[in-house]
Amino acid sequence: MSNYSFDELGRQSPKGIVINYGVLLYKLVKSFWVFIPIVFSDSIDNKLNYILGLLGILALVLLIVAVVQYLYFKFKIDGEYFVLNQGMIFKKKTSIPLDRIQSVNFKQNLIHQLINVTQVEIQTAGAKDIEVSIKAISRQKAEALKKRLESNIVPTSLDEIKSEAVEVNEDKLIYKLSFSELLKVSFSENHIRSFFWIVAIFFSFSYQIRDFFKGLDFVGEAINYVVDNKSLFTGSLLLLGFAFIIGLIISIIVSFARVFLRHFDQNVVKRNDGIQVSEGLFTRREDVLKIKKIQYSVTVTNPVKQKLGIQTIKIRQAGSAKTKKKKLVQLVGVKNEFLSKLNELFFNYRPSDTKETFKPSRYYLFRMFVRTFILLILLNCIIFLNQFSAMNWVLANALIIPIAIIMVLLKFKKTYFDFDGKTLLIGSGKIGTITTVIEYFKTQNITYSQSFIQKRRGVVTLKLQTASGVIKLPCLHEEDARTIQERIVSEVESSTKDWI
Amino acid sequence: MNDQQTFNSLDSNFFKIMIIKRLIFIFVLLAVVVFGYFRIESSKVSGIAFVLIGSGVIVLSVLILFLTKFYFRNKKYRLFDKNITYQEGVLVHNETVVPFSRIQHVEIDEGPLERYFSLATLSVYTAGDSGKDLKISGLKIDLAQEIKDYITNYIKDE
Repeated sequence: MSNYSFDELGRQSPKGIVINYGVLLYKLVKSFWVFIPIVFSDSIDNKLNYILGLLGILALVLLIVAVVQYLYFKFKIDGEYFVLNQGMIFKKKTSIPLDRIQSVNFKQNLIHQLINVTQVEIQTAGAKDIEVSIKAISRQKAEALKKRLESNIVPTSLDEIKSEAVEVNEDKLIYKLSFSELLKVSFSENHIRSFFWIVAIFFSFSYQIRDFFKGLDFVGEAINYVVDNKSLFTGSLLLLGFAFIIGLIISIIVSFARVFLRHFDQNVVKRNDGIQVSEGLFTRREDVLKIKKIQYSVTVTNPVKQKLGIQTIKIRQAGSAKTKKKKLVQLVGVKNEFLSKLNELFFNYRPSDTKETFKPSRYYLFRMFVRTFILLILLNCIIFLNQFSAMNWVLANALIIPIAIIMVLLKFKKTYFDFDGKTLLIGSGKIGTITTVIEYFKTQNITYSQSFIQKRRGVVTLKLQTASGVIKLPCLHEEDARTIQERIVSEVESSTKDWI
Repeated sequence: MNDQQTFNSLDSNFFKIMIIKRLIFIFVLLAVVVFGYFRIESSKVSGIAFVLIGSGVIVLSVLILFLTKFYFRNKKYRLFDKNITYQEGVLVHNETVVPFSRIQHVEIDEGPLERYFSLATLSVYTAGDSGKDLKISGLKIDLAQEIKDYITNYIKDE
């Protein structure tokens, strides 16, 4: 480790130029991709040379920018600070106190892996969140930098020093997703959701897709038919069935691809004060989760996953709204034993027999039916305006209404609020089952909300604000709501534990 | 500093501020309608449409002014040993409890109107998502300062 010194201003690996260049090209393509079809259209044939020349110059300029970015990107550790200088024209100096660094994460995408370098991301906490990313340094150097940065994170309380002395410093692998489990996870994903996604994308890009398939007469005609009629219902049943099967196959492929890209070879390593999750096929991500920063977890499962004995757990950490979505860590394919182990690790939670269960009032059921009814009316208006045949209209309603009613009943049945010791468990879901687990002393503030309709019925919605979003407890009886509110407030006020 | 057991109402001058703010809003709304009437040639849009829109705006204005009283009455706060609570709303009534131990910082703002009546707005921030978690307008400036000091002292002592 001592081979690397960070005391002098140093650059990243020269391979960083490749990464910089890649990022710049990616940004360029991303912001101008709309124009790409123009380049390939017929009308522009005679100007093709100009355009290619222009693109060549642009590529060269970007290469120079990448080199300059590399040359002017220097960092060092100066006493208590991590110092980063960047930019040629717009110079920017960042210095971060080492004790403000929250976590140091590694990331490797395909290019990183090809040229054997690592991207290091440094996250800090504070009023203004600063994030620094060093695009490319060798793995060893990255490890050394991480060790160096983390060694300076001073434990704040006596408790922490004690526990650190007791615990073994070695990292321990506690979970690994095997290939067969990955297959199970992909297979049991919600393909219907993927299907709707694809249908939506199909309609928003339908004209482009039609142009693309112009050459292939048969496909072109089929798409033409659907596009011109603007609806799947008016298509003949055969075409409808055909489209549905094709769509479903595509959705399953998409689900598999998504799961494999993101979660391939997922493993969890237990470290001193948290866990480290690594995953990904081409882009390897390594996220460090500090247990103290975890606010709550959401466990999701569906009937197929239940049969296979697996579930997905989403871990919500405290953080700024901007980074939250990207940093949401999901463990897929979690078995029951491992789930209870995680609950114990994260929330100190072990199920007991002294659970106290609250259910929403029947008014919740009533409200869901009213809302569904309004949606159905809107849907029928759309169908009416599109001048469907009466037959299609009856068919559509005969299909949708029973499904909607079953969904509402399922949701009401699956909604509950359990107080078990210091932990609150919230159930929800329709076909799937969703369980939220929160140590309720981590609540930031609590709102007791009652619309004038709810007031007449004597029901209340409680909203728990956490450092990672709102948790709603809908339509509780007034007495229950007061009990829960008081319990949570008194727990927050009397708890001596830090919420972060 | 104030009664700690029951909910306290806001300063009665704040009712005037609420009325003034609503009058400004109504004035702008009416101005837009009148401006629209003279701008768009009457051949394109019939006069009846404008009469309808105009009367709609007037009905809305009366309703807004009428409801102001209830909105004012429902705004209440309560200071306990370890938390601060604020209630507001007519159609949807909300009561938010913020325990002192979760407060990140406290702020006092005075708008020009508020300053005229020597009132202030007290904002309490936690790490919750909504940013400003509790915002009590229409406190006497001294009282706002007193509450702020009370909370700040509590946070410091912890």
